[in-house]
Amino acid sequence: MEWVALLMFAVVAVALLAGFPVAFTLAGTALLFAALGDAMGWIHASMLWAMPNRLFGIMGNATLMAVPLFIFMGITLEKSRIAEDLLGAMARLLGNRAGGLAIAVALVGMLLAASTGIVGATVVTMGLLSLPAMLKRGYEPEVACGTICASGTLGQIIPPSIVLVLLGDVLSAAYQQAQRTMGKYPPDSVSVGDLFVGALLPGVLLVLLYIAYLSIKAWMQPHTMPAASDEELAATPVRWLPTFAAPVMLILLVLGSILGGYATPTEASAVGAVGALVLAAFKRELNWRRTMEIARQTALTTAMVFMILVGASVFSLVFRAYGGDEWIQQGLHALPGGAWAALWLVLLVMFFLGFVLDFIEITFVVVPLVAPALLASGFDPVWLGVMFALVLQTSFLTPPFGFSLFYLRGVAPARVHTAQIYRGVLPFILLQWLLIAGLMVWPGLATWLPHWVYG
Amino acid sequence: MDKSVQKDGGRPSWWLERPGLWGLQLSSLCLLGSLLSVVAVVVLRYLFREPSIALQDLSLWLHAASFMLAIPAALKWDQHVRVDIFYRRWPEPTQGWVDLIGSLLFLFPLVAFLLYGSWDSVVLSWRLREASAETGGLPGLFIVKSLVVVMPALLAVQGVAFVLSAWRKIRGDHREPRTPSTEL
Repeated sequence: MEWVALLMFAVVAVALLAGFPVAFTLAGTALLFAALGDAMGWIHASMLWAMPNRLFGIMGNATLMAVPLFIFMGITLEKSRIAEDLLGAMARLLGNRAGGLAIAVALVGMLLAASTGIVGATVVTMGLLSLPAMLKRGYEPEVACGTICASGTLGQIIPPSIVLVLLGDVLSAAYQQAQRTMGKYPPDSVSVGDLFVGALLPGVLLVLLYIAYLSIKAWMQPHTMPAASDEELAATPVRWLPTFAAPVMLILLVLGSILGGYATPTEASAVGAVGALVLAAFKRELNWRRTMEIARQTALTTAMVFMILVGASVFSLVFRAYGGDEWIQQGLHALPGGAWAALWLVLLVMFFLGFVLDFIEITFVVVPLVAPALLASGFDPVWLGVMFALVLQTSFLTPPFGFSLFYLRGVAPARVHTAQIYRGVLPFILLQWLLIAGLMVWPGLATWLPHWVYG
Repeated sequence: MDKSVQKDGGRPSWWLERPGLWGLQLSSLCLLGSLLSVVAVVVLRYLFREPSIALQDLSLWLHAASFMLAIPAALKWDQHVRVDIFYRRWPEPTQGWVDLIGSLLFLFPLVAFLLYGSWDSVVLSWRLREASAETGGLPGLFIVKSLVVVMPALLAVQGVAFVLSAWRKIRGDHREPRTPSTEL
């Protein structure tokens, strides 16, 4: 009955394009196929009664508690304008040289990435804050847009990102499953913390690549990214400690406590959220009303993430009942060219899925299907997770469908042409692929640091 | 609450959206509660070396309540992610049709399935007065487990309001959607 599973996948893909919310489309299509299968005698509807337990499982998943808390921290930094001031301070610090403002955007993207990890939010915030400033300064629109789009997607890969939390949770289940099928006992485990540590080096390397590119371009063509004039610099005094040092320390503290093994991601996220509230209070940007506003927006975003998880659970139950995952796993094992061919195929499929689906859906629907087979053929789970995150991030940047480009288009002034945005991200896409190739050649980039930290 | 809500107070949607909004209000409080209890766990563990299972349960349960209770309201404010490559370019009536048909085909069957499918386990949990599985954990897990029927029930009511708003889009008398920060 595998063909029904494939048909279901195809139907869902088409149904999603209609634009009804993803979570309900996934679940609803699966339920229709379950009803059909039951009526035709292909499958038993009784397999659906596993659903309440799956729901309880989602509700009781302590790893995923880090998701709302990191979102809370990000929204607090944004709503209390701490993020905005940080960008201002960074721009002031680097603005006296050609290309400095662009490098400031990349660095702030990296720091904020750490706290929000939602592509859309970061690109929109950065677009609203820095695009007008860059254009006013006389930046070429291409390089300004490219920098903002690319920096906005850094949230995928730089810990502590939401993507890595979700991916870590899914991968740890897949890793257990892969080792069970291989008969390895007791199985090794992989945690969200492992993934954070593994993603750190590639993430930092990526930012360095961005900065190197921007510096070289500024050196070769200074007129495309002019420096600020002295009057402009003098007109924007900066209070270093509150606007610059405090948020940077907060983010480093959160990251450091996870990487140093002092706190779990959930604990660190809670401390980060409270720290962000304290910073907001010191800035006199906090009152009960604002706090509730932040809580409300966090709750809505979290509800969206978890509803997709619920929808994906229903989908995967029915997909499994039709034998779909067996079929995919066997197919990946039987592929001519072995494990690497399977890996390439999966990465390619994810890259294209990234054009229509957000990382949450891909993580919950696709990764559980393909990861056990890949892990069983010996790929390192941390390395695989970092590869997934990097490929998805690249997908979000790639014209004409990349999410990041849509979000920037939404907030960019009309005089910036869409073609300019596309041209601007091209160099960054090349850098992405450079890093992906580097990880293929030297897997140690992702696996060395976890081994060193955790022994 | 504010004026924009009172303006269309005569509409049935106003009443249908109340439960979802109460859910969101409660959800926000649960979120803050969950945050505070994780912080309390951290403080107890690192400063006083005293792990607290009860507090861990509390933080996890409040987190679960928070996201479950916000799911219906997220429908109202269009927070559930759509693949909107085409959707956002379509005229409003077409969008309305998508929302209407999608609700009937996907949303309501899911709601019915969750309600019907989870009912027995929730009843069983109540009958046992199920508590945390951990030693030293909290009682009252059955209340948390009830959320698997409370969420779809709220979602059903919100879904009717959603369908009505889709119908208004089709008829062409739809107002701009309000964002959470401007309304509450």
